[in-house]
Amino acid sequence: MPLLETGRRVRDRWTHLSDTDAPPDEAAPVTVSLARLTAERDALLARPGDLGVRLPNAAAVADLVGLLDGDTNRLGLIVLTFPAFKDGRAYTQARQLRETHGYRGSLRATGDVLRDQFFFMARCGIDAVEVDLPESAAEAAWRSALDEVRSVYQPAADGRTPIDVLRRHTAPGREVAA
Amino acid sequence: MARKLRPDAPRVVTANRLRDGVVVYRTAAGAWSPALDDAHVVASTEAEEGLLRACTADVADCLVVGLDVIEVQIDAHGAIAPISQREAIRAVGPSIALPQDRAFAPLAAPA
Amino acid sequence: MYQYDAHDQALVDQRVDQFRDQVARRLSGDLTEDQFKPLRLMNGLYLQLHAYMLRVAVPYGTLSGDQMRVLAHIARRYDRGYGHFTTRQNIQYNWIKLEEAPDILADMARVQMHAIQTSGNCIRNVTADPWAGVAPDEIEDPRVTAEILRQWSTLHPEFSFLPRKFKIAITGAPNDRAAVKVHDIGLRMHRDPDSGEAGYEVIVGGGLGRTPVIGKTIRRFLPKDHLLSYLEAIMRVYNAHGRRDNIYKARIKILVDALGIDAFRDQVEAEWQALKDGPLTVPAETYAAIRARFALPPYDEGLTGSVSTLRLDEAADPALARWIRANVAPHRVPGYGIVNVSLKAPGQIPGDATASQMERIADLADRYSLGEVRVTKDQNLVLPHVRLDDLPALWRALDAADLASPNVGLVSDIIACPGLDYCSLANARSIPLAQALSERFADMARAQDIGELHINISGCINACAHHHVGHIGILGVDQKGKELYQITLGGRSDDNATLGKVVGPAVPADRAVELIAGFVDTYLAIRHPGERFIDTVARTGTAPFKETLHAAA
Ligand code: SF4
Repeated sequence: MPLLETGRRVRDRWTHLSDTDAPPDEAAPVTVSLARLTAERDALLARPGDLGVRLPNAAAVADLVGLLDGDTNRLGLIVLTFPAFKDGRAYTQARQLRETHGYRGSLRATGDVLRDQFFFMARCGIDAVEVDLPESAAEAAWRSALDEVRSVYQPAADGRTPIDVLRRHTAPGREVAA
Repeated sequence: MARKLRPDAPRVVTANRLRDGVVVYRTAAGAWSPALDDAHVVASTEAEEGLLRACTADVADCLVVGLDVIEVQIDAHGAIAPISQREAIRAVGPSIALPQDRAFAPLAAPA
Repeated sequence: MYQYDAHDQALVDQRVDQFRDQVARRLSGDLTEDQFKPLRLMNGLYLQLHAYMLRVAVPYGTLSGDQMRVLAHIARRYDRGYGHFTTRQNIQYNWIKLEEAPDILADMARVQMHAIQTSGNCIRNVTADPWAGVAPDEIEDPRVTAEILRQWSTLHPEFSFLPRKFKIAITGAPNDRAAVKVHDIGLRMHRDPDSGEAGYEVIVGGGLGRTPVIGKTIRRFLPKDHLLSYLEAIMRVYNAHGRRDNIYKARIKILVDALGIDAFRDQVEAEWQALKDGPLTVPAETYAAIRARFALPPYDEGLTGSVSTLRLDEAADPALARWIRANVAPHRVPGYGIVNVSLKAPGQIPGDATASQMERIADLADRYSLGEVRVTKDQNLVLPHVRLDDLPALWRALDAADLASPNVGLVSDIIACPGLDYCSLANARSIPLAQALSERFADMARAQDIGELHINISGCINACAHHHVGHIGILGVDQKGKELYQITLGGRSDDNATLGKVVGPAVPADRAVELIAGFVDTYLAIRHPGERFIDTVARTGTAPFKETLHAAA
């Protein structure tokens, strides 16, 4: 499935291993399931190649953080799942990873990922999405989804300045139109 | 909503028109009409399936949404009426008199 | 009332453009109905029995005269000349065309209104005491908090796809007029006994519907600056752990019940540690800035008197005196009263108002109520700042528009959801029964003798009319194609929130009217002096009323 990183189509450099596949080579970036990471933690973390994990949306982020001794940045990719677009648990996982646990690697959304939810995902710190994207024209549509609403009220993981902060730093009478 | 009907119960296909939400019924000519009396009545599971299949293109083409099959009865004059109260209200509108917007005399100037 | 600044306006305008594009993509087939449905719901657009229904947010029930005129314009231009005020302090239109919905939202945005999050599995519009800012018993105006919550919850990136809808209510006074114990989160303002500082009691997991639950206190006192971080922690625990496998078990009340309030509190506290004192902290200057945007009304100074001490000339104008007694409440400013406008004339559809009535209310608000109108959860309207000496003129003008029924809070002030006449989820009709009951109790002098009595009628277990907390609650059921009504007694949504008890089997509509008439007769026969219906039921239980059941059988 095509991959968009910050709204642009890219080639997936990661190999997604099943629970029995061996990694192609020592240096290849691979993702494994959370179950496999739990079972083979030491060996996987000792590999020179980048490591990623596929996180079920029912998993507790705190458990993953514990498994990594508190350092989420031992991972280069965390794959989140949206089994149906209405199932919003992974939004919470994304914000916990970014804002509570300081994760800086890639956060990728997979599953039922639609253009009209992309704005929320990006705000929660998701930087890549796997989507069914037949024509290149649609790529621009995905990028524009992030600009439809430009004013935001909440602090979140995307670094946008919330309206309340803008207000506090704007002298009265000099309000900025967004 | 689509309950299992008796195999030989008379039935029609209903939906809402996508662009304005109006309740419509599938006609024998393959069109959609707001009048239940225009509906194509079928009375077997096979005929129902055939009718629904014929409608799916109109769902894909964004003409209608919310396809449903409802049971009806036909009186001696050939008039069609739904069995359930819900569908009867859907077919003819609310059972109550709707509020009538009437203008009032202008407000008197303040004393 | 709150005045948008350029930021608020920009967001609402951007949202209108976004929805216009989404509707165009739906009509052209780029979006399937499954994909489009949550998008339209988040803009308040349902597909109901007869057409699309649009639910417009009236944040915490406050409207200006100009906003009310636009609501009238929408009713006339895009609908059938009327609208329905709901128990969530919103207004609904029943005959909307999808292709016109973006134009309607654009018309609303011009007067700082929107339909954002009036539906869908997100944080719904926040409700508040309809007497906010004017009630004498108020600690602080809850609308400032409600507006802060409105902004925080609008297009919330994390909480737009919750397990189920989420409703927050706030009351600023010790007398709860916002039913905070039957909301997903209820906030009750009070003062810390030690410091005297104002803050919130936080109540969680209340709700009606299929599983009615009275909410539990999760935190006795939350200082105001922690408002958003604490609520975000609650929402986060709910988003992560609320059930998604069964729509009937997905509300937060089920999660709180499954974990127990103590374990739930522990999880919230743990999450809160990560959020507390972070960017969600609400500084006092934000409260002050939001309060400043509520351009508070300029009252006339030097007036005296209160409606409770007003001398009414019964002989000269008994109808006016009766209306003042029933519909006008004390205001915190001397010389002013709070005027409740009943949308419950006998035989009227509860909560419905025609475009001309809306315009009349708007004009009267501008002339007599400093330009402000409120919507109540009892489906009535309020003109909150009326000079006592304007009452006779206001009353005459309301009366000319069928808006002067002297029955607010009385037996004929019936709360009813749209029911099977409009709602695609309904099991039975609500409106015809409400009409029959209000006609049965049309004698206003007798209604005043009966005193405070709330009858609530829901057309299905979703309980939009809050029948569980009606003094007399009525639930429509469908038993093998028959439209029947199940009656409960003794419910209430005030500080002593209680769920009503079922009396007898479900009955047809005409029998329900007879039974309720019998219950009222029983009450009149056995009440102690000064005792309200609900107090009598609390004292005697349902037993004496059940005798009515048998006697009338
Ligand atoms: S209570 Fe039921 S019938 Fe009434 S409006 Fe709500 S969902 Fe519809």
